[in-house]
Amino acid sequence: MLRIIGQFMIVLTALAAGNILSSIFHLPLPGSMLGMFLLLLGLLAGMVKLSWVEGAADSNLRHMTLLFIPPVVGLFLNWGAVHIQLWKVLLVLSLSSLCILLGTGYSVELYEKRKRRRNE
Amino acid sequence: MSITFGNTLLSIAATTSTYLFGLRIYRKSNHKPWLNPLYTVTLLLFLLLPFLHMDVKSYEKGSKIFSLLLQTGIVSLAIPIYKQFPLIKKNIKKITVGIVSGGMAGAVSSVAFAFLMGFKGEAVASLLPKTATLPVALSVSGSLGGTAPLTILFVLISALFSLIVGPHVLDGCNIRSKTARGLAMGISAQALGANRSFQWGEEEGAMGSVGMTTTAILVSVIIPMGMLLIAYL
Repeated sequence: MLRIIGQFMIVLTALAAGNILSSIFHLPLPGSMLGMFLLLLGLLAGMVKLSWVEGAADSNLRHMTLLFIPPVVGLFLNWGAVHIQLWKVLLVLSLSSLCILLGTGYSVELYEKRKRRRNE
Repeated sequence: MSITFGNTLLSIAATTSTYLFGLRIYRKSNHKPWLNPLYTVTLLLFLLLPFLHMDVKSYEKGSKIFSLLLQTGIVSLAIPIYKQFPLIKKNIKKITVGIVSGGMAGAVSSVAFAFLMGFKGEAVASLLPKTATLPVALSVSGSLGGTAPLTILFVLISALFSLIVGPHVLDGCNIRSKTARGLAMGISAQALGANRSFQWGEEEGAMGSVGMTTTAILVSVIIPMGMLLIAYL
Protein backbone atom coordinates (compact mmCIF):
# COMPACT_ATOMS: atom_id res chain seq x y z
CA MET A 1 0.00 0.00 0.00
CA LEU A 2 2.80 2.38 0.98
CA ARG A 3 4.57 1.57 -2.27
CA ILE A 4 1.43 2.42 -4.28
CA ILE A 5 1.09 5.74 -2.43
CA GLY A 6 4.72 6.56 -3.18
CA GLN A 7 4.16 5.72 -6.85
CA PHE A 8 1.01 7.80 -6.88
CA MET A 9 3.06 10.77 -5.60
CA ILE A 10 5.20 10.58 -8.75
CA VAL A 11 2.08 10.63 -10.95
CA LEU A 12 0.74 13.53 -8.89
CA THR A 13 4.04 15.40 -9.33
CA ALA A 14 3.78 14.97 -13.10
CA LEU A 15 0.23 16.35 -12.96
CA ALA A 16 1.32 19.34 -10.85
CA ALA A 17 4.21 20.06 -13.22
CA GLY A 18 1.78 19.89 -16.16
CA ASN A 19 -0.61 22.29 -14.44
CA ILE A 20 2.19 24.75 -13.70
CA LEU A 21 3.46 24.64 -17.29
CA SER A 22 -0.05 25.10 -18.65
CA SER A 23 -0.76 28.16 -16.52
CA ILE A 24 2.66 29.82 -16.90
CA PHE A 25 2.68 29.64 -20.70
CA HIS A 26 -1.12 29.99 -21.10
CA LEU A 27 -1.15 26.80 -23.14
CA PRO A 28 -4.45 25.57 -24.59
CA LEU A 29 -3.54 22.04 -23.39
CA PRO A 30 -4.81 21.09 -19.93
CA GLY A 31 -2.32 20.18 -17.21
CA SER A 32 -3.26 16.49 -17.22
CA MET A 33 -2.28 16.06 -20.87
CA LEU A 34 0.99 17.95 -20.35
CA GLY A 35 1.64 15.82 -17.26
CA MET A 36 1.10 12.71 -19.36
CA PHE A 37 3.67 13.99 -21.88
CA LEU A 38 6.16 14.83 -19.16
CA LEU A 39 5.82 11.37 -17.63
CA LEU A 40 6.12 9.72 -21.05
CA LEU A 41 9.23 11.78 -21.83
CA GLY A 42 10.68 10.88 -18.43
CA LEU A 43 10.08 7.20 -19.10
CA LEU A 44 11.51 7.36 -22.62
CA ALA A 45 14.55 9.29 -21.44
CA GLY A 46 15.10 6.76 -18.65
CA MET A 47 14.76 9.41 -15.93
CA VAL A 48 11.72 7.60 -14.53
CA LYS A 49 11.75 3.81 -14.21
CA LEU A 50 8.59 1.93 -15.20
CA SER A 51 8.59 0.10 -11.85
CA TRP A 52 8.40 3.44 -10.00
CA VAL A 53 4.95 4.26 -11.37
CA GLU A 54 3.48 1.09 -12.85
CA GLY A 55 1.45 -0.13 -9.86
CA ALA A 56 -0.29 3.17 -9.14
CA ALA A 57 -0.92 3.93 -12.80
CA ASP A 58 -2.36 0.46 -13.47
CA SER A 59 -4.82 0.64 -10.59
CA ASN A 60 -5.78 4.19 -11.54
CA LEU A 61 -6.50 3.07 -15.09
CA ARG A 62 -8.27 -0.14 -14.06
CA HIS A 63 -10.81 1.82 -12.03
CA MET A 64 -11.33 4.63 -14.55
CA THR A 65 -15.04 3.74 -14.63
CA LEU A 66 -15.43 4.77 -10.98
CA LEU A 67 -14.08 8.23 -11.81
CA PHE A 68 -16.70 8.81 -14.49
CA ILE A 69 -19.57 8.09 -12.13
CA PRO A 70 -19.71 11.49 -10.35
CA PRO A 71 -19.91 13.54 -13.59
CA VAL A 72 -22.54 11.17 -15.02
CA VAL A 73 -24.61 11.34 -11.82
CA GLY A 74 -24.16 15.13 -11.77
CA LEU A 75 -25.41 15.26 -15.36
CA PHE A 76 -28.64 13.43 -14.46
CA LEU A 77 -29.18 15.51 -11.33
CA ASN A 78 -28.54 18.72 -13.29
CA TRP A 79 -31.00 17.85 -16.02
CA GLY A 80 -33.00 21.05 -15.48
CA ALA A 81 -29.99 23.22 -16.41
CA VAL A 82 -29.85 21.87 -19.95
CA HIS A 83 -32.22 23.74 -22.25
CA ILE A 84 -32.05 21.61 -25.34
CA GLN A 85 -34.23 19.01 -26.99
CA LEU A 86 -32.98 15.59 -26.04
CA TRP A 87 -33.96 13.72 -29.21
CA LYS A 88 -32.01 16.19 -31.33
CA VAL A 89 -28.95 15.83 -29.11
CA LEU A 90 -29.16 12.05 -29.23
CA LEU A 91 -29.57 12.08 -33.01
CA VAL A 92 -26.61 14.40 -33.65
CA LEU A 93 -24.33 12.63 -31.18
CA SER A 94 -25.15 9.08 -32.28
CA LEU A 95 -24.79 9.89 -35.98
CA SER A 96 -21.47 11.67 -35.51
CA SER A 97 -20.19 8.89 -33.23
CA LEU A 98 -21.03 6.38 -35.96
CA CYS A 99 -19.12 8.55 -38.46
CA ILE A 100 -16.07 8.51 -36.16
CA LEU A 101 -16.20 4.75 -35.57
CA LEU A 102 -16.63 3.92 -39.26
CA GLY A 103 -14.26 6.66 -40.49
CA THR A 104 -11.47 5.38 -38.27
CA GLY A 105 -12.21 1.70 -38.73
CA TYR A 106 -12.54 1.67 -42.51
CA SER A 107 -9.63 4.02 -43.19
CA VAL A 108 -7.23 1.84 -41.17
CA GLU A 109 -8.58 -1.35 -42.75
CA LEU A 110 -8.23 0.12 -46.25
CA TYR A 111 -4.70 1.28 -45.46
CA GLU A 112 -3.73 -2.18 -44.22
CA LYS A 113 -5.27 -3.87 -47.28
CA ARG A 114 -3.47 -1.57 -49.72
CA LYS A 115 -0.19 -2.11 -47.93
CA ARG A 116 -0.62 -5.87 -47.98
CA ARG A 117 -1.37 -5.81 -51.72
CA ARG A 118 1.70 -3.70 -52.39
CA ASN A 119 3.85 -6.15 -50.45
CA GLU A 120 2.61 -9.16 -52.41
CA MET B 1 -15.70 23.21 7.84
CA SER B 2 -16.96 20.10 9.60
CA ILE B 3 -20.05 20.08 7.37
CA THR B 4 -17.89 20.13 4.23
CA PHE B 5 -15.72 17.38 5.62
CA GLY B 6 -18.68 15.15 6.49
CA ASN B 7 -20.16 15.90 3.09
CA THR B 8 -16.96 14.87 1.30
CA LEU B 9 -16.70 11.71 3.35
CA LEU B 10 -20.31 10.79 2.64
CA SER B 11 -19.97 11.44 -1.11
CA ILE B 12 -16.82 9.35 -1.34
CA ALA B 13 -18.25 6.54 0.79
CA ALA B 14 -21.51 6.43 -1.18
CA THR B 15 -19.76 6.50 -4.56
CA THR B 16 -17.06 3.97 -3.70
CA SER B 17 -19.32 1.48 -1.93
CA THR B 18 -21.92 1.49 -4.71
CA TYR B 19 -19.08 1.12 -7.21
CA LEU B 20 -17.63 -1.91 -5.40
CA PHE B 21 -21.12 -3.38 -5.25
CA GLY B 22 -21.69 -2.72 -8.98
CA LEU B 23 -18.28 -4.16 -9.84
CA ARG B 24 -19.15 -7.36 -7.96
CA ILE B 25 -22.40 -7.78 -9.84
CA TYR B 26 -20.55 -7.16 -13.10
CA ARG B 27 -17.91 -9.79 -12.30
CA LYS B 28 -20.46 -12.30 -11.01
CA SER B 29 -22.45 -11.91 -14.23
CA ASN B 30 -19.34 -12.76 -16.26
CA HIS B 31 -18.92 -9.21 -17.62
CA LYS B 32 -22.32 -8.76 -19.25
CA PRO B 33 -21.90 -5.43 -21.11
CA TRP B 34 -25.22 -3.95 -19.95
CA LEU B 35 -24.25 -4.57 -16.30
CA ASN B 36 -21.19 -2.31 -16.65
CA PRO B 37 -20.74 -0.55 -13.26
CA LEU B 38 -21.10 2.80 -15.02
CA TYR B 39 -24.82 2.15 -15.63
CA THR B 40 -25.73 0.20 -12.49
CA VAL B 41 -23.84 2.51 -10.13
CA THR B 42 -25.20 5.68 -11.72
CA LEU B 43 -28.73 4.36 -11.31
CA LEU B 44 -28.08 3.22 -7.73
CA LEU B 45 -26.58 6.57 -6.72
CA PHE B 46 -29.35 8.48 -8.44
CA LEU B 47 -31.85 6.57 -6.30
CA LEU B 48 -29.70 6.59 -3.15
CA LEU B 49 -28.68 10.26 -2.92
CA PRO B 50 -32.10 11.65 -1.91
CA PHE B 51 -32.11 9.24 1.06
CA LEU B 52 -28.72 10.61 2.16
CA HIS B 53 -30.20 14.14 2.02
CA MET B 54 -27.71 15.13 -0.67
CA ASP B 55 -28.50 17.50 -3.51
CA VAL B 56 -26.56 18.15 -6.69
CA LYS B 57 -24.37 20.90 -5.26
CA SER B 58 -23.26 19.02 -2.17
CA TYR B 59 -22.61 15.82 -4.12
CA GLU B 60 -20.58 17.67 -6.74
CA LYS B 61 -18.56 19.43 -4.07
CA GLY B 62 -18.09 16.24 -2.10
CA SER B 63 -16.91 14.21 -5.08
CA LYS B 64 -14.15 16.63 -6.18
CA ILE B 65 -11.50 14.04 -5.30
CA PHE B 66 -12.70 11.88 -8.20
CA SER B 67 -12.02 14.63 -10.71
CA LEU B 68 -8.46 14.83 -9.37
CA LEU B 69 -8.13 11.07 -9.82
CA LEU B 70 -9.52 11.43 -13.35
CA GLN B 71 -6.66 13.81 -14.08
CA THR B 72 -4.03 11.48 -12.61
CA GLY B 73 -5.71 8.76 -14.68
CA ILE B 74 -4.97 10.75 -17.80
CA VAL B 75 -1.36 11.21 -16.66
CA SER B 76 -1.23 7.44 -16.06
CA LEU B 77 -1.98 6.81 -19.74
CA ALA B 78 1.74 7.50 -20.25
CA ILE B 79 2.39 3.96 -18.97
CA PRO B 80 0.45 1.90 -21.60
CA ILE B 81 1.76 4.26 -24.29
CA TYR B 82 5.33 3.80 -23.07
CA LYS B 83 4.95 0.01 -22.94
CA GLN B 84 3.63 -0.09 -26.51
CA PHE B 85 5.96 2.59 -27.83
CA PRO B 86 7.84 0.33 -30.31
CA LEU B 87 4.49 -0.86 -31.69
CA ILE B 88 3.26 2.71 -32.02
CA LYS B 89 6.46 3.79 -33.78
CA LYS B 90 6.16 0.89 -36.21
CA ASN B 91 2.54 1.73 -37.02
CA ILE B 92 2.76 5.50 -36.93
CA LYS B 93 1.47 5.99 -40.51
CA LYS B 94 -1.52 3.73 -39.97
CA ILE B 95 -2.33 5.49 -36.71
CA THR B 96 -2.12 8.92 -38.35
CA VAL B 97 -4.42 7.79 -41.17
CA GLY B 98 -6.97 6.49 -38.65
CA ILE B 99 -6.92 9.50 -36.36
CA VAL B 100 -7.05 12.10 -39.12
CA SER B 101 -9.95 10.43 -40.94
CA GLY B 102 -11.82 9.63 -37.73
CA GLY B 103 -11.33 13.11 -36.33
CA MET B 104 -12.34 14.81 -39.58
CA ALA B 105 -15.40 12.59 -39.91
CA GLY B 106 -16.35 13.47 -36.35
CA ALA B 107 -15.86 17.23 -36.63
CA VAL B 108 -17.51 17.60 -40.05
CA SER B 109 -20.46 15.33 -39.25
CA SER B 110 -21.22 16.88 -35.86
CA VAL B 111 -21.19 20.44 -37.22
CA ALA B 112 -23.26 19.41 -40.27
CA PHE B 113 -25.89 17.56 -38.21
CA ALA B 114 -25.94 20.35 -35.63
CA PHE B 115 -26.80 22.92 -38.30
CA LEU B 116 -29.42 20.60 -39.81
CA MET B 117 -31.04 20.33 -36.37
CA GLY B 118 -30.89 24.10 -35.90
CA PHE B 119 -28.40 24.19 -33.01
CA LYS B 120 -27.26 27.69 -32.08
CA GLY B 121 -23.79 29.11 -31.29
CA GLU B 122 -23.46 28.03 -27.67
CA ALA B 123 -24.51 24.46 -28.42
CA VAL B 124 -22.21 24.19 -31.46
CA ALA B 125 -19.32 25.54 -29.38
CA SER B 126 -19.98 22.87 -26.77
CA LEU B 127 -20.33 20.23 -29.48
CA LEU B 128 -17.07 20.81 -31.39
CA PRO B 129 -14.60 19.55 -28.75
CA LYS B 130 -16.76 16.54 -27.78
CA THR B 131 -14.35 13.94 -29.16
CA ALA B 132 -11.74 15.05 -26.62
CA THR B 133 -11.61 13.57 -23.16
CA LEU B 134 -13.72 15.41 -20.55
CA PRO B 135 -11.15 17.74 -18.91
CA VAL B 136 -9.76 18.74 -22.33
CA ALA B 137 -13.21 19.23 -23.85
CA LEU B 138 -14.26 21.43 -20.92
CA SER B 139 -11.32 23.79 -21.25
CA VAL B 140 -11.61 24.05 -25.05
CA SER B 141 -15.37 24.56 -24.99
CA GLY B 142 -14.94 27.25 -22.34
CA SER B 143 -12.60 29.18 -24.62
CA LEU B 144 -15.05 28.81 -27.55
CA GLY B 145 -18.00 30.14 -25.54
CA GLY B 146 -19.67 26.80 -24.86
CA THR B 147 -21.23 25.96 -21.51
CA ALA B 148 -20.01 23.35 -19.02
CA PRO B 149 -23.30 21.39 -18.59
CA LEU B 150 -23.78 21.11 -22.37
CA THR B 151 -20.16 20.02 -22.89
CA ILE B 152 -20.40 17.35 -20.19
CA LEU B 153 -23.69 16.18 -21.69
CA PHE B 154 -22.25 15.92 -25.22
CA VAL B 155 -18.97 14.28 -24.21
CA LEU B 156 -20.58 11.72 -21.93
CA ILE B 157 -23.51 10.84 -24.19
CA SER B 158 -21.23 10.32 -27.21
CA ALA B 159 -18.81 8.28 -25.09
CA LEU B 160 -21.62 6.12 -23.67
CA PHE B 161 -23.18 5.65 -27.10
CA SER B 162 -19.85 4.63 -28.65
CA LEU B 163 -19.06 2.38 -25.70
CA ILE B 164 -22.34 0.48 -26.09
CA VAL B 165 -22.71 0.50 -29.87
CA GLY B 166 -19.05 0.65 -30.98
CA PRO B 167 -18.06 -3.01 -30.50
CA HIS B 168 -21.22 -4.16 -32.35
CA VAL B 169 -20.66 -1.72 -35.21
CA LEU B 170 -17.02 -2.82 -35.58
CA ASP B 171 -18.06 -6.50 -35.53
CA GLY B 172 -20.98 -5.91 -37.90
CA CYS B 173 -18.86 -4.05 -40.42
CA ASN B 174 -16.24 -6.79 -40.22
CA ILE B 175 -13.51 -4.44 -39.02
CA ARG B 176 -10.96 -6.92 -37.66
CA SER B 177 -7.69 -4.99 -37.54
CA LYS B 178 -6.49 -4.55 -33.95
CA THR B 179 -5.25 -1.05 -34.69
CA ALA B 180 -8.54 -0.06 -36.29
CA ARG B 181 -10.65 -1.37 -33.40
CA GLY B 182 -8.53 0.17 -30.66
CA LEU B 183 -8.23 3.53 -32.38
CA ALA B 184 -11.94 3.71 -33.21
CA MET B 185 -12.91 3.05 -29.58
CA GLY B 186 -10.30 5.44 -28.18
CA ILE B 187 -11.31 8.30 -30.47
CA SER B 188 -15.06 7.88 -30.11
CA ALA B 189 -15.36 6.91 -26.42
CA GLN B 190 -12.11 8.32 -24.94
CA ALA B 191 -11.07 6.83 -21.60
CA LEU B 192 -14.09 4.54 -21.49
CA GLY B 193 -13.31 3.29 -24.98
CA ALA B 194 -9.62 2.83 -24.25
CA ASN B 195 -10.63 0.84 -21.20
CA ARG B 196 -13.01 -1.27 -23.31
CA SER B 197 -10.33 -2.02 -25.90
CA PHE B 198 -8.00 -3.37 -23.19
CA GLN B 199 -10.58 -6.17 -22.84
CA TRP B 200 -9.73 -7.21 -26.41
CA GLY B 201 -5.99 -7.23 -25.68
CA GLU B 202 -2.87 -5.20 -24.89
CA GLU B 203 -2.38 -4.07 -28.49
CA GLU B 204 -5.95 -2.85 -28.92
CA GLY B 205 -5.75 -1.19 -25.51
CA ALA B 206 -2.56 0.69 -26.38
CA MET B 207 -4.13 1.83 -29.67
CA GLY B 208 -7.18 2.96 -27.71
CA SER B 209 -4.99 5.06 -25.41
CA VAL B 210 -3.13 6.50 -28.38
CA GLY B 211 -6.40 7.34 -30.14
CA MET B 212 -7.74 9.08 -27.08
CA THR B 213 -4.64 11.11 -26.25
CA THR B 214 -3.87 12.14 -29.83
CA THR B 215 -7.46 13.27 -30.37
CA ALA B 216 -7.32 15.29 -27.17
CA ILE B 217 -4.10 16.96 -28.30
CA LEU B 218 -5.46 17.70 -31.78
CA VAL B 219 -8.69 19.14 -30.36
CA SER B 220 -6.89 21.34 -27.86
CA VAL B 221 -4.41 22.63 -30.44
CA ILE B 222 -6.37 22.81 -33.72
CA ILE B 223 -9.66 24.27 -32.46
CA PRO B 224 -8.17 27.29 -30.63
CA MET B 225 -5.81 27.94 -33.57
CA GLY B 226 -8.74 27.76 -35.97
CA MET B 227 -10.58 30.29 -33.81
CA LEU B 228 -7.58 32.64 -33.90
CA LEU B 229 -7.46 32.30 -37.67
CA ILE B 230 -11.18 33.09 -37.99
CA ALA B 231 -10.75 36.07 -35.67
CA TYR B 232 -7.98 37.46 -37.92
CA LEU B 233 -10.02 37.04 -41.10
